[in-house]
Amino acid sequence: MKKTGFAASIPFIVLLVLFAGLPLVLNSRTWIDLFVTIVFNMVGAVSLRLILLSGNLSFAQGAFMGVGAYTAGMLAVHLGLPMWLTIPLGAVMATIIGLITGWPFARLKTVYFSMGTMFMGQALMLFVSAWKKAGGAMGLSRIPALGAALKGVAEGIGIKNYQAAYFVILLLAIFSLVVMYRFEHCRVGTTLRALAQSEEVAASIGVNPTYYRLLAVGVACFFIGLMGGVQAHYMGTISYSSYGMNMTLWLIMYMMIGGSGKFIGPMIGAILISIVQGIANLMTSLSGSSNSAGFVAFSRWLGENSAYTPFLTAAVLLVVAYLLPTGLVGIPDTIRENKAKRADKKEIAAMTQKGGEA
Amino acid sequence: MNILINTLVLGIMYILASLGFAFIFNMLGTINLAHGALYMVGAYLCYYLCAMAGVNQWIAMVIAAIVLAGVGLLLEKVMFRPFLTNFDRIVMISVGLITIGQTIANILTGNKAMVIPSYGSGLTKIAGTSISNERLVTFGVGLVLLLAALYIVNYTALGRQMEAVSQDRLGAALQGININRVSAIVCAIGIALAAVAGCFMGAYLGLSSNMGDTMNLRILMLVMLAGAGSMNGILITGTVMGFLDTIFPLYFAGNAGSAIPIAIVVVLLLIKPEGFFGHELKM
Repeated sequence: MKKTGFAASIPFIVLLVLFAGLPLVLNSRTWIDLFVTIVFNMVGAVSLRLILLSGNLSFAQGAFMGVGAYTAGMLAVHLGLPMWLTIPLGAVMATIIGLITGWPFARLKTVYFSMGTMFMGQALMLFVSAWKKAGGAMGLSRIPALGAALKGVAEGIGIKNYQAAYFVILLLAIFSLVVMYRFEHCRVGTTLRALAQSEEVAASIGVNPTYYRLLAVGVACFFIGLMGGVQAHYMGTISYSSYGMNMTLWLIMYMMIGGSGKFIGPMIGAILISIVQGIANLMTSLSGSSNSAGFVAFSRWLGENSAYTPFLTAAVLLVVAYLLPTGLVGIPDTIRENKAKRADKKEIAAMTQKGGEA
Repeated sequence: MNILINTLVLGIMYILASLGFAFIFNMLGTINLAHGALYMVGAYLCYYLCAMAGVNQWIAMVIAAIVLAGVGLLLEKVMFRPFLTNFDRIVMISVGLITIGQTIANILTGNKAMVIPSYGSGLTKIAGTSISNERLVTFGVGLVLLLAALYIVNYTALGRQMEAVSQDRLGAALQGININRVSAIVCAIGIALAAVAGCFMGAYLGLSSNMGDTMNLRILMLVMLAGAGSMNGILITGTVMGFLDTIFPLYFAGNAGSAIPIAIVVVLLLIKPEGFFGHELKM
């Protein structure tokens, strides 16, 4: 049973309303930071899934986000280029590097592709960190801030600087997500799925595997580079270590937790895990505005023990890995399957009992 | 001379740490991303046994190895066996384990500099160069363990069973090999070896919460370079990795020294993605 038209778009509309509406109400810096993180992670996880459509799991997406961020940041710091130029250039640079490095990797498969891209991403970021112009191991700082640039606009509407920055990021993210959604749901997406199932069969009917794989890599790198560029301007300082292996692994986790079967899966995963990861910060900042003593005490306790919050994330990971084979979006399917299994078992038990009597 | 010694010591530690990973890669056909984290856990366990319980560092190492072998048995049971065909879920569980391990390490380490008590003190003069006894001891013990592991792989019934399972799981099971038992034993041995490597490296370089990540990358690189199904290949690639990691930081400051070996490995893997000594893994 495939939902079509309006019904399929309901979850997206709900998400859009939430992401456009909530930051108007929850306008403290901590909340906006959380929303921005979620948006970045969402686009990152979705772009990762785009490459996965062709059957390969890339372990270098975090590094490409770094390429976008460093390109945008260095252009702005060293050449003084304006923001509307540096961010797209960051995306273009990520695409170029993605294509150059993706071309030799396109013939690798499964675990070999994953490992190759992992080493490549690691080497890329280490080289960046060894580059003096890019700030070296200390990272690049004093990048012009997106919020400050939007000051005039923000004051005109009556919202805070960083809120305006968030809405710009949201617009870019919506653009990225829409393009990637269309990309997946047009003929190219079908071709990629065909490649994932059997490259030989796809090639035999005239599909050029390298071309299509590179196309997916290029599009994914463009949008993650775009997000990287925006991130550089949002944060003001970037460090190579935040785009290393951990970043990539977590992008993969967002995708897997949400479920890689559906477009919305990585988005859900990113939302859930980003909130869990940022919960200690959030609660600490919330406790200032709350008047319930118990809540304040709880969030203070959480803030003091913020070093332990990764355990929560790990718990979510383990629970999903053991109980939900298709991720969070697959919960209805999983429940249905388990019910069917149980019914089957009952039937078999009943039949064997009857057999025993007869 | 010093370069040679460092290469050999680092190489043998890399090989020890990656043997378990290679066992799992060859036999179960899956990747254990948590291997580096387990190596780190071994080192931390050893440190705390020395620092808190006042155990001799050698005994602490043995205890750490035994405990980690138990962890290996457990992991085989709850992680590899149920999800053998499901790469996604193994990755998820490994990342969960890495998160748990690193969080504990972060909490324990804080800003302290933690070093396992040295496994040997003083210097020995060999051929005109003085070499610290610690390195000699590390190399010696590493070599003994490595030879023992190679003996098991090449000359015992267990080794033959391992070879059979890695060639054909179903076929091995039909021949009456208890594949689950073999896998469990191999996981235990491999992870215990990683813990031993962790103890030595913890004494050599000190403990930090990202030591697992660094080692994980090395392990992955040298096993991928060697290729699936090749134990002897690991000996060569491990030494090569040790050499690269010794020589480049001497000439390039900072992170470039660690970036170049990785770049070299990437190029080598592009030339021969299935590894230089093994065969391609069918997944």
